[in-house]
Amino acid sequence: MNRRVQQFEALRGVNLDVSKGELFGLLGPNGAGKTTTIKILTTLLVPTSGEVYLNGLDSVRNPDQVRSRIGYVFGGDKGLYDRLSARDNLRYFANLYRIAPGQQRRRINELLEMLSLTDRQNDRVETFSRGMKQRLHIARGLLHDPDIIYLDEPTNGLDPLAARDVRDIVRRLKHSGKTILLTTHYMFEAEDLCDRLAVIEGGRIIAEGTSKDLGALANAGPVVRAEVSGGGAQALCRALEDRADVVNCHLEPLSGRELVTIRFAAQTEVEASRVVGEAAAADTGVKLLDLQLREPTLEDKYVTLVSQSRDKESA
Amino acid sequence: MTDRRAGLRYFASNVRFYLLYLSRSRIEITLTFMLPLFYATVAHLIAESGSDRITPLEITLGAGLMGMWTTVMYGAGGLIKEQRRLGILELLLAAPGRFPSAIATMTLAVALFGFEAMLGTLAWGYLLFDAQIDAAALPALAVAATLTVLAMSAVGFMVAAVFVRVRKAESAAEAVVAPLWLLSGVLIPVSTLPDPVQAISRLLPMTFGAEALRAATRNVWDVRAIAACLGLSLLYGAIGWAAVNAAAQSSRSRGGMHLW
Repeated sequence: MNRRVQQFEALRGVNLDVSKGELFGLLGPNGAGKTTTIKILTTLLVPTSGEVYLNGLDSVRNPDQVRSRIGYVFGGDKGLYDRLSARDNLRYFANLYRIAPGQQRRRINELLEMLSLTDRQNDRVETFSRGMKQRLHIARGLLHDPDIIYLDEPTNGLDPLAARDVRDIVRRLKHSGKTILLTTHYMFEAEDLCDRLAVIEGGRIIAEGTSKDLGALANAGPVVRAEVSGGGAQALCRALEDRADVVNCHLEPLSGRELVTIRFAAQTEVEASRVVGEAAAADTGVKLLDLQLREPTLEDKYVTLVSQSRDKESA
Repeated sequence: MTDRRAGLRYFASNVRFYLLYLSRSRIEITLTFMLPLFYATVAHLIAESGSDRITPLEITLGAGLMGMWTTVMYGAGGLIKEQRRLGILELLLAAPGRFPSAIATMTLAVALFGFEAMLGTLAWGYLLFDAQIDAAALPALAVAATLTVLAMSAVGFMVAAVFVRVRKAESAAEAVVAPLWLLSGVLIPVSTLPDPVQAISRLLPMTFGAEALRAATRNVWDVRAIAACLGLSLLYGAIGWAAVNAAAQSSRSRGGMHLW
């Protein structure tokens, strides 16, 4: 699908195929096209060209039928009537989704129980913690028992415990057979929850597959973490980034020293250590204090993929 | 349950929901109920120093209608702004069913909220200014009042349509409230206005709603005013529906609505 807004092309040929019961992660930097993709999938936007099918239904031609089969949950504390209770909120959205009066009470009770909100069901939402509001959001999105659920950064801004609760709920939804599309900026979350992932950048899907597949696609090599002192860290980083086998180099100031993280493209650990050691030795302003190597995480693979795509685009 | 009956039930339930929501704001309640009392007091004091052509009940009703106008003009737009602030406009648009129907429940709730304030004003007029209601006039008053709520709701729907499309439409709403009091003849009969202004007045459903109410206080069924109020209300409602629908369509095709 494509989406053209005046002169700005938000999506350029996004092609996604998500299987029934799959938990699919959509990753990408801000402005890459994640939100536009979600808006098209939730029928809030019509693509300029292309097709969107959900369970065989054309979402452009049959938005109403699609809407009654999807659940849309976004992160943050918006999307609820804060002056009213959790139960009032759910009752309103149950009406909006035309849930039969006889079923409303049972379904609301079920969801309040499932999301551990029964004790607070009659309290005003404005008195809820961020985590409780997020759970109520999920309850709202599940009221009509949708087959497909879009979770747009559901743990954004949550404390670690609340985020863990939400991830547990997502796991339970997957086990109950729901098809889930999740967007997140937290790579460990994507790696932990998703069956498959896609990375979107500049309106295009630049990689798709399991976390392992993304590593292979990124051609990601080892990551070297070097602690240096002496003030020449920036020059060291520039020198390393000039090398073809270095994807990027990141500087982080520590107390009295700096941490340099160097992400290599396909390279052996021994060779990567040697390259960094020699570059540090060649710069008289840098003193190498410590050097550690690790396997690339999903975040490293993601950074590598996005960096490579941006380099290709600018070239 | 037939589809139509079910639809009406959901509609009524959501109107009740928004009434509940409006009633949870102390500032909203205070302003909605206090303003018409102030209007009524001023109107009675002015009338006492003038002629006796207008009865205390008519003055009280007029003040109540002024309050309703204020509630609807600020409330309908305010509720849309509130949906935007709460991030709910996007959810309403993403829900199955017709988006204008969701907006219509809000404007009807606002009009009913304004009507509650009008009842409070009538009680105020009765207690302080001897604004008595003849029991025989109650059926005519009930019909005229229902029509008035419908008319206010239809105007509110059009106001809401503007707010759905334009993020900051308050200044326009503020500017037209006072002229609408005059134009719709809620305090003084439209016949006392200059001829060109009367022509504009005849385009407002509330003008006829106010006429029907005034006639009802004398136990007179002003059929012409009732029909005109009903017809114009339906026309305003249809225009509001089309405008909200167009905004929703434009939002889907061009991302033209400010959802947040």
